[in-house]
Amino acid sequence: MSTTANPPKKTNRIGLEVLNYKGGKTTLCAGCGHNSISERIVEVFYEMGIHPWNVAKFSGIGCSSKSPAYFLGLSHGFNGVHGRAPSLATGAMLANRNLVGILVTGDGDTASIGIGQYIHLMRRNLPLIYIIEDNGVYGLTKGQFSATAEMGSKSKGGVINDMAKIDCCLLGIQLGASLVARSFSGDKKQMQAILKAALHHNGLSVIDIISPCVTFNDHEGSTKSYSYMKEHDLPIHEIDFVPHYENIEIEMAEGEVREVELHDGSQIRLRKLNRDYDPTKKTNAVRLLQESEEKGEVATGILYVQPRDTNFFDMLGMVDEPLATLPESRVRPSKESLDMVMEELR
Amino acid sequence: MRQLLKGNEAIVKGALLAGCRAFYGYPITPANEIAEAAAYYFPRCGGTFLQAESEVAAINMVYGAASAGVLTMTASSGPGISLMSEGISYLAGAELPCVIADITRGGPGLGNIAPEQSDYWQVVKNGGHGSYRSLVLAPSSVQEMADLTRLAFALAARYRNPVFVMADGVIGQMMEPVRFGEPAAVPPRPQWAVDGTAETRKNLVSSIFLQPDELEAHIGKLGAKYAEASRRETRLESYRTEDAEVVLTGYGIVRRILRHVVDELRGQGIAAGLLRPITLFPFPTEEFERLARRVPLFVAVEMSTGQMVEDVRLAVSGRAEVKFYGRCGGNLPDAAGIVEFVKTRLGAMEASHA
Repeated sequence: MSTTANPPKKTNRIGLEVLNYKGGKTTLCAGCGHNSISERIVEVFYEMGIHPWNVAKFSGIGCSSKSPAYFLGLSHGFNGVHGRAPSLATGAMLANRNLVGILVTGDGDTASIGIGQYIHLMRRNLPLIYIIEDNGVYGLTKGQFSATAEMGSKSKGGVINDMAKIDCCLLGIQLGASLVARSFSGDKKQMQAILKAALHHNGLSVIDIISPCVTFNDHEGSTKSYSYMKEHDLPIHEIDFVPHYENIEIEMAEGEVREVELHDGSQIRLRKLNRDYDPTKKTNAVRLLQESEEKGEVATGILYVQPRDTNFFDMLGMVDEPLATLPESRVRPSKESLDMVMEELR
Repeated sequence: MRQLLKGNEAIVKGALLAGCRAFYGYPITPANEIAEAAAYYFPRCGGTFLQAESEVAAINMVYGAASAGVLTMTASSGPGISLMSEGISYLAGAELPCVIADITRGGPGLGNIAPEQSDYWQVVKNGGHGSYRSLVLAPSSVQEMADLTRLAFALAARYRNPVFVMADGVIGQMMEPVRFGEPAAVPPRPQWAVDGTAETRKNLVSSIFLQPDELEAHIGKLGAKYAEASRRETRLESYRTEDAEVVLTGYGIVRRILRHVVDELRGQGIAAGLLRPITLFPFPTEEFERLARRVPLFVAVEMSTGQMVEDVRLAVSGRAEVKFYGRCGGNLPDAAGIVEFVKTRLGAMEASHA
């Protein structure tokens, strides 16, 4: 009989193990960038102590949209219609404002068939994390260019893309998204920090993550390959995130760090790298994206953040409780309001 | 000379030989090879290919090209055809010719990418709004994918109407040898088209008729066109039906299975026959009516829970028994299962008449 005691299991601040945040086994290709994004989501939701059963995962159609099956297995998932995840998420989040919403989509799902819905979602500041797993191709249908493929990028079959790309970050910034970031699936630390900030942001967070497709877009001449990103990724700052429930003092040299305080008191601390960059200014973000494109660089980090006190629920004048849980006594119209309606019909 | 190729590729070569020069599409499985082949061949034949941002965009590009008088097509599968329904209604309303290939997969919703025949209702009965019809051709071999695509363009031009080539994913994906005919001359621009010249300035491509009498007259004109198509264009294949006591019916890949079933039943002493619609609209109603005067049992076999069987019942109109046998979800009906089903039904009929 063994007398060896099991070591205590490592848990987060709500007493759950990291195992409670995992999902099913991935069916994506080995080495797919999407898999490392799923891993980061597992780590961050565990670390931040989010109740997994309070999370709603939304997706559309494509390789990326399969990935919610591979993280947060205890959460609720909604795999919807091609390009329609923004409206599905809007409907569900309005029905239950207590949900933590995370939408995972791809460049085909968002920038082509779903672009109309994407654009209108940007205008609404719905509290939602919107991740674009961006590889520049349609993987499930064998490698056609998507609308985020750079002009001049070469397909696996040798075809050169001759159409201008859609920059989902630039669109998001211009159309009202209040946190916009770009990252690279190979940069674990940056992705973690951005995801943490997005979890605490009171509004819509768009995170465009360059996530190479190892099967159809990882060759020489592609601008979304691992090697291209390793050479052209230009992080604009180092990001530390300090949640409101922790009080961590970080020693930093004067003038080297920029702090952005979010609605709930959490702080995004941005350590200057090769330039001084203020992400709270829209014009800075637009200029940065346009200049990087001209130079052939991929600027990554929190490109734009505008901490908000109010969100889409407040704008709609919604009650504090989720609509889905209101008792009949609260949703039944009063006699006075019914009388008023009848009076109007006279 | 024969070429070995996929059903989906045969559609593209058939289209080019018919004079089609404009293809607009969006990726979807199991129809991808159509767009892939079109992207390769159309620009090499003086035509154009464009990957649209959605199926909604693709069908409206077709709408635009058709109004300019160019033979044009698109291709998709169930979910994409659902999205195209609005545009197809407008094309039919505006009396514009086009060809749409539907390589059907499993539904409803996302379903799966395995073959089904559950698009029958949305394609043959119309997914869009209004009193219109699409002509629908149902190939059952790769050779027919090429031949019926050519026919589809001829019918589209003749009736100024959308024409579907509807094939299940099996026919789209499988490879068979095909013999292609001589290319047709690219037809001259039709007189009704708008082409930016003073002569066509008077032409108006529209589906709007605000006055009730005008719209009623327009719908009547469309109806007369469909009646003419029913008289002239109905196509079917009849196999060993003349002395049959049971007639099996099915289209697409199912037709291939049913020919085998007919031979198997005949070998067991049962006089079975096959009536296979080649055109699903117009449906071969008259032939079913004719056979139903003598044949007591019809068995419709489909890769769905029973869609075409409703047209069989309408045609037979109570004169004979109509039974349904189907598999769905991507499963194919197997010959042995159908043979057993037919024998059981015949046995039950004999018992009830005894």
